[in-house]
Amino acid sequence: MKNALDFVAHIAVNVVDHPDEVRIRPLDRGNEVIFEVHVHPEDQGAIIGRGGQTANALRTFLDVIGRRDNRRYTLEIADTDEVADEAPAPIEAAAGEAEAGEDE
Amino acid sequence: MHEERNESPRPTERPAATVLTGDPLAALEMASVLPAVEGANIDETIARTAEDLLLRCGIYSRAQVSMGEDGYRNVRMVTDANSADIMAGRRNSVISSVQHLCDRIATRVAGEHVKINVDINNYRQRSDGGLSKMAEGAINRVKETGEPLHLDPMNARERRIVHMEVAEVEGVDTTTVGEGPDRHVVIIPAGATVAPEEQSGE
Repeated sequence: MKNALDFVAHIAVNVVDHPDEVRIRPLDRGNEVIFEVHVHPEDQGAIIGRGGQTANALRTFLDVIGRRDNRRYTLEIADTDEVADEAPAPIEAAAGEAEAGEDE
Repeated sequence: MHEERNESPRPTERPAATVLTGDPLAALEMASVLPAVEGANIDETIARTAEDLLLRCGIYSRAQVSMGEDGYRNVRMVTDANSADIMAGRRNSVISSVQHLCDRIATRVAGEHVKINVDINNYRQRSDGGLSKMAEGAINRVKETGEPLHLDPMNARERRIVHMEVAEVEGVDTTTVGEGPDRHVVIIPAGATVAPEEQSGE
């Protein structure tokens, strides 16, 4: 799963304007792993892409990686409201404090 | 300890999704933002970005970039045979995905909008010829039956090839239906329309 997770992380941080706010939550549903991606509200469009192109491109690659791993990976982009509700805790504890200037 | 490779996935009842980690993971702890390169050699940047994308899926490739007459850069990629197998059955979507993500990322790194056309193992070049042939057959079929014919989903470039092919023939027309990966051309008898319930268009 590491490869797939790293891939999602790599693409996500490189297509958004607020890479420091990208969070990924892997969810296990038995026969599939869902990567739930949370981004800054302004980046919602960038991670989804016009007509869903970026998210779908990510899904295609997850398929390819999944074929190697014999697993099924799927991608979900979390609603921004949801992020505000349940993901207030930033992960970087000590190291991130200096740069964490992007709060609303 | 058995060295069995196929862990036959036995479908039992579907468990509810369980969270694998407590908090969502910060993506920046697993990946880094590629630095913007000022005055970057754009062709180089595109080539490395494309190779890097495939490598992250375990596909080894070489990319060569050249300027096309249409202002698009042609990114021609070659992979080894194993990798070609991995992509089998989804070459089109892999190629479009490389093209799209490479466009997004290289644009960011180079700080300048790049327009690219990607091809892997000459697949597109070969399929364009087949595409015209297929369209020809489909056109004949629609003329015979007088019924609309839904083609397989295609990317914008391929749909354009079919549209152009059909435009040269009298008595048939095209329309496009479906969203995202399902977007496809329908060849219709001239003047006909596609039933609205089939048309999940914009």
